[in-house]
Amino acid sequence: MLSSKNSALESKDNEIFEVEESIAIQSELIKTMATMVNSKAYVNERNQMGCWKQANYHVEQNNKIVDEELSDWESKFFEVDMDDLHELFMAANYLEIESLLNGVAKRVADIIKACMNVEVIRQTFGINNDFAAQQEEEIRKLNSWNHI
Amino acid sequence: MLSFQSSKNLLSLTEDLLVRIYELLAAESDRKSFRLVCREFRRIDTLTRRHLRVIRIEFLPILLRKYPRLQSLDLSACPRIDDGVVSLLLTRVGPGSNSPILGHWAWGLKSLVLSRATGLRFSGLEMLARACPCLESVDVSYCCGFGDREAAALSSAVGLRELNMDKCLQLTDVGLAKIAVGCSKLEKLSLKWCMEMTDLGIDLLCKKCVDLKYLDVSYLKVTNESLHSIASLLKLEVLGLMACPLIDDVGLHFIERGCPSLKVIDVSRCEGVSSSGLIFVVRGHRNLLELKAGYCLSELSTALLHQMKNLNHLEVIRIDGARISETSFQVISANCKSLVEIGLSKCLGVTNMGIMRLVSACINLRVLNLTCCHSITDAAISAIAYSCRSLVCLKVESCNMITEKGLCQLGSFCLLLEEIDLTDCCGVNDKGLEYLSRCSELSCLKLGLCTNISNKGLSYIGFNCLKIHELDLYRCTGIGDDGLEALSNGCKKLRKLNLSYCNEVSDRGLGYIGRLEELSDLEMRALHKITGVGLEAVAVGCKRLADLDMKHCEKVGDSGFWALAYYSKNLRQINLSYCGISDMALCMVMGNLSRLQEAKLVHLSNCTVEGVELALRACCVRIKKVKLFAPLRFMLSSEILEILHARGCIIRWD
Repeated sequence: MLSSKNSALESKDNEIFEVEESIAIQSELIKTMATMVNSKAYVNERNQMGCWKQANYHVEQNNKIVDEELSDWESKFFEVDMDDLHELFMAANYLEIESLLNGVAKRVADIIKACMNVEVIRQTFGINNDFAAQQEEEIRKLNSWNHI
Repeated sequence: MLSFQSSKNLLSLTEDLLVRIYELLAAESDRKSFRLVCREFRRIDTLTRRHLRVIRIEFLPILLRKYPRLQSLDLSACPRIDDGVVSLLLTRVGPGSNSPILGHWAWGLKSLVLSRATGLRFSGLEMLARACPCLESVDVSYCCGFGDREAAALSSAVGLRELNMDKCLQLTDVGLAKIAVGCSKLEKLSLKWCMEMTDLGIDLLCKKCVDLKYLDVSYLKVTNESLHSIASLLKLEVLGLMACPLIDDVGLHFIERGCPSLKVIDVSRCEGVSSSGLIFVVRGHRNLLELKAGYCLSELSTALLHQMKNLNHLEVIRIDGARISETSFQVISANCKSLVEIGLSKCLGVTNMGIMRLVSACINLRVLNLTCCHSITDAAISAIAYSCRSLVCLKVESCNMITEKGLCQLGSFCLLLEEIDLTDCCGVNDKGLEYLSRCSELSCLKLGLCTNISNKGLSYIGFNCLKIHELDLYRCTGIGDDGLEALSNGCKKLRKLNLSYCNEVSDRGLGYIGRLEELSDLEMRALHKITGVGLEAVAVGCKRLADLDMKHCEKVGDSGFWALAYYSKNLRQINLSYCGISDMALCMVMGNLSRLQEAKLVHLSNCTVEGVELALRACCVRIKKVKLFAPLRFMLSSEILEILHARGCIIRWD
C-alpha cells in the first residue's frame, strides 16, 4: 500500500514539502492535479504542514484501525485557537481532504455544543446578531414548538 | 479571541461547510441555539432541515411553509390532529394570490409518523397518501380505531416500504389484503396486537409482498399454517412471533427449510415452543444473528446445545426463565464468541463459575441481563468488569450479594457503562456509589429499594455522572434534601426521576428539583413532608414536566395545585389520587392544562361529586383516560359519562 515515491509540493510561501504519494493522494485536489502538468496549489505554509500531518497519521492508522487512539490524537490536534481552526478549515476545503474536513467540523460543532447559550456562541465566533428584535422574538416563540 | 478580524470568522465559511457543522449538531437544543445566532445560521437550518417533530399543532402550517425540504414528519405528539386539520394543511392557499400553495411540503415527504393520532380517519389518511407521492414509511401504531377502511386508504401509497400498524385493533384480513395488493414493494411490516388477523391474511401477504424483510406478527392468534406461508419469504431477515399462543414446534419445522435469509427470530413467551422447535430453526440457519426465546423454554436440551455449536455468528441470545446448566455455559462460551447481548433474566442455575466462563469468551459483550440471578456475587461482577470493557448495559436486579467490591471493579474497567439496574440490591451502599460514579457515561441508574444508600452516595453521582437521564430512587428512604441538592447541581440533563416513598424529602428538596429544567417525568408518591410550596417550585421550574405522579401526597395544599394549573402547560399525565385538592383547584387543573390526556383522580377527599363533575366537563374535549373513585359511578350524572364515552375517553373505576 505504501509506495516509496514522493511528490514535491510547493506552497504559496515557496516552501517545498516532500510528501509520500500515498498521503498526498488523501487530498482530492492533489490527486486530480497530479494528472495535470505544471500545477500549483495555493495554500498557506503553516496549514499545509498541519494537513499533511493529519493525512499522514490517517494513512498509518488505516492499517491498525485503532479508533480510540485516533480520536485521542485528533482531539489534541484540533485544540488550536479560532484563527488556526479557520485556516485549517479553509485549507482542508481547498485541498479536499475529507477526513480532515470532518475532524474540523466536529471540533466546531463540539465548541458550539459546549456553549451555554446563543450569546456565548456569538462571542466565541465573533458573529454579530443581525436579527431585528421582532424576528428574534418570533424565532424564540417558534422554538417552543419542539419541547422534547 | 479578543479582536476578531471579521474576514476570519465562521461566517466567511462557505455554505456547504456550515451545513457540515450543522449536521454534526445532533441535539435539538443545540440546533435551536444555532438557529438563533444570526440570519445566515437560520438560513442553513431552514435549508437543511429534513425532519420535523411537532408538539403544538397551532404552529404546524407556519412550520410546513418554512421548511420546504422535509423528508420526515412526526405528528405523534399532536393529540388533536384529525381529518379537518389534514385537509387544511394540504389545500390552503396563503394570504395573497402569489403565495405558494401550502400543500407543496408533501411532495418530498418520505416518512410520516402518525402514531396515536386517534382523531384521524380514512379520509384524512387518503388525502395524505395521495398528496405524498414519495411516501416510503408510515407509522400509524396505536391508532386503535383504525381498521380496513384506513388500510385501504394507505394502500394507495404505492411506493410504501415500511408500515407499522401495531394495535390497529379493527384491522382484519380484508384490510391486510388491500395493503398486500396495493403496496407490493413492502419491506417492513409490523402487525402486533392486530387481533383480528388470521392465517388467510398472512398467506395472501406472503404471496404478494415477496420483498418482505421484516415481519412482526407478535401476539396474533395465527397458527402453524401462517408459518408455512411465511417460510416462502425468501428475503425475510427478521421474524417476530412473540407471545403467539397457537404457534408450536410443528410450525417452526416449516421455518427450518424456509426463510433462507433469516437472521433474527423472536419466539419469546410462545407457550407451545420448546427446545425441539428451536432445533429446527437453528439447524436450518447457521448464520443466525439473534435468537430471542425468553420465557418459553424450560431448559436448553442437549440436542439443542449440540445444534447451537454451529451458531458462530450469534450476536444476541435471550433465554430468560430457562434452567441453564454448566454444559450450556460451556457450549455457548466455546462457540458463540461474537455475542454482544445475553439475556438470562430469572434463569435457574446461573452461577459465578458459569458467568466467569461466559464473559472470558464473549469479550465484546455490551448488554448483560442477570435479573434475579440470586447466586451472583462480586466475583462474577469483577470477572464481567475485567473481561467486557465495552459493557454498556448491566441488569442485576435482586442480586443482593453484590457489594461495593463488585461496583469498584465496574467503576474501574467499564467506563462505557450507560445503564445499570441495581433495584433491590441491598448490598449497595454509599461507598459502592462512589465507585460506580466513575462511570461518567452513566445515563440510566436504577437504585429502587436500595435502603443502604444516603445523601452522601447520591452526591457522588451528582458530582460525576453528568449525563444521567433517568434515576430511580423508589423507596430509598435514606435519601433527603441534601442528596437532591447535589443531584440538581450536576445532573442537569435529568429527565426521569422517581422519589416515591423517600419520606425525608421536604419542600426544600423540591426546590432543588425545580432547578432541573429538562425534567419531564416525576414520580413522588407518599411524600408526607411536602406542601404546596414544594409543588409550586416544581411547577415553576420544571417547564417540560409531562408526567407527574403524586399519589398520597396528602399535605399538599391548593397553592401548589394552582401553580400546577398555571405553569405546567406541558403536563400530559397526572395522578392526584388521595391528594387534598379542592373542587376549585381540581377544576382549574383539569380545565387549564390543555395538553392533559390522562388523569387518575381516585379518592379525592376534599372534593365533592359536583366538583369532580365540573372538572370532568372542563376537560372532556381532550381527556383520553381517566381513573375515578368507584362509588362515583352511580353519583355522577349519566350525561357526563355519556359525553366522555362519546369522545372516546376510557374511564376506569377503582
